[in-house]
Amino acid sequence: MTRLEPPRHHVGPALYDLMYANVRGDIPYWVARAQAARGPVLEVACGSGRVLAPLLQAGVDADGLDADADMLEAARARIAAAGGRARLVRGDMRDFTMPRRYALAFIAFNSFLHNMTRADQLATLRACRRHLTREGALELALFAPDPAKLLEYDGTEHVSSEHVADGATVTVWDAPLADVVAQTTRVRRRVEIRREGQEPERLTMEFAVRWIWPEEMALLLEVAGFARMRVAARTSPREAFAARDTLRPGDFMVWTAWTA
Amino acid sequence: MDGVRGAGQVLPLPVRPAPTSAGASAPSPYARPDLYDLLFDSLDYDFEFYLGLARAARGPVLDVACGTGRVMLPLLRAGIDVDGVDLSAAMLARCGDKAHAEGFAPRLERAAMAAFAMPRRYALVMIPFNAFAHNLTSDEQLACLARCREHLAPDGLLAFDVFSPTAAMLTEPPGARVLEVEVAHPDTGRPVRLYDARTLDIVNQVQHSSMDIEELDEAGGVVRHPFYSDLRWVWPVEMALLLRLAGFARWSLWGSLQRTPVAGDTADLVVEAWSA
Repeated sequence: MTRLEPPRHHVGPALYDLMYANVRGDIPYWVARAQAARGPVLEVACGSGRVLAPLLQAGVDADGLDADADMLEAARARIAAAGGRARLVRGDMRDFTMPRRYALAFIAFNSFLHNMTRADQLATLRACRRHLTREGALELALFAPDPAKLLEYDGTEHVSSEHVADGATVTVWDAPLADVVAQTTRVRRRVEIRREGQEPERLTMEFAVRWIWPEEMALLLEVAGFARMRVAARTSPREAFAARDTLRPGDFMVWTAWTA
Repeated sequence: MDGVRGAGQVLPLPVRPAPTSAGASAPSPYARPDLYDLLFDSLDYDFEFYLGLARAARGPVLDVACGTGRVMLPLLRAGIDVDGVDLSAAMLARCGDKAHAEGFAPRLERAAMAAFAMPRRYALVMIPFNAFAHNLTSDEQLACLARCREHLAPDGLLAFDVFSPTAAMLTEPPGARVLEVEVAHPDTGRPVRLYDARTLDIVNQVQHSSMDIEELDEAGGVVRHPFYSDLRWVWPVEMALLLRLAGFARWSLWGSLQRTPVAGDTADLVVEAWSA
């Protein structure tokens, strides 16, 4: 299995960075986790370096893996601009080989949900596990499904986000269609980018995620061979990614799993 | 791996709230097998499914969480060799009485679904009528599935059905009191009603259920019997993972006892699983 397909919502780094410019809440968390790790750090699905660049700026010894060459190129530029340097490797999260082992491997902001089948999920978890040191940990941040929301995902379009980034107003409309048996949501997305005195730029795209229930995530980690695990609750990285005492539907789950 | 949770340790999710419902101190509905039978003994919607499997099985059948024998008795009447396991001594006693009254003497053992040990192996292990949902944690679910698998003959079948949350359930106002069952008392003809007020804990996948069984006395006064029960639902994708972790080799998941596909709004999840 050495497939290198473009990721399912390949949109190019410029548009990606504009669409997700409001996702910043989790960066201090990942910086702190990486600094606390006793050894090198790997970001799986690092994309254009949204999290990886700040890690390197904070002095962390971190590598990045991503399946998309354009995103990696953007990450390289972003990191170089900040005066940093990282090993960036193009590879599929389900089957990759890095030349060293990590005290912390992590997959931020729902990227694990691009694994659309159980085989994909398990392959990714196992590939990450193989790259951990003996005491190393894998961390995953993904949303906890909210049935009330999923039931509304019938293909009807709604405004998903609107924010200002890089001098542009970015509006995102999503038309999500959920399949509650397969646990997938297919999203038709429209994006409009408006800049002062310019014609608005309009784009459309489609992508899919496969969501994971909390109890199911524990089972997946166990099947993949992790010996211990823990889950913490946080608010969305679009907000403060703040710790919560209790996990509620729609919150973010941060899973930490150890091989021993 | 010892077939249950390996050497692994799963720390609890941040929320595992104790039942907050006011009725949580009420007894289990299985404390009153007489009332249970009044409400449920006439149900026969699942006989065709389980009787069909039992007839097709070439060997003995184990009825896990057999209760008062609602499903076991038709199997015995059909000449099938059935044993039963249940956690409730009161339910088992009533099951034994009903079987003996018809001249049957099934082996009935009091044990938890997750910790039973019978002296023989079965062509069919069945867990009818949602009983599997009494396993509230993954550990309990996996232990139950492992015990069932260990009790299967080499080509034996495990079959069970559990509820599956529908859109209506998931969006129902929490704690709304719903009339679930109404029957006429066979002796007095007066109504016996089961009301259920359910609250869903989405994160832990547990339905807290505060029930009232209401009878009318001669003067028309309401005699109220409060009960409380928790049930854990399992999503279809999660069920496949549980079966795999418990060591089953293959399985079919259905959306009904008529073996229709699992769909977005099916209220049942029906499992047939083989260990080889």
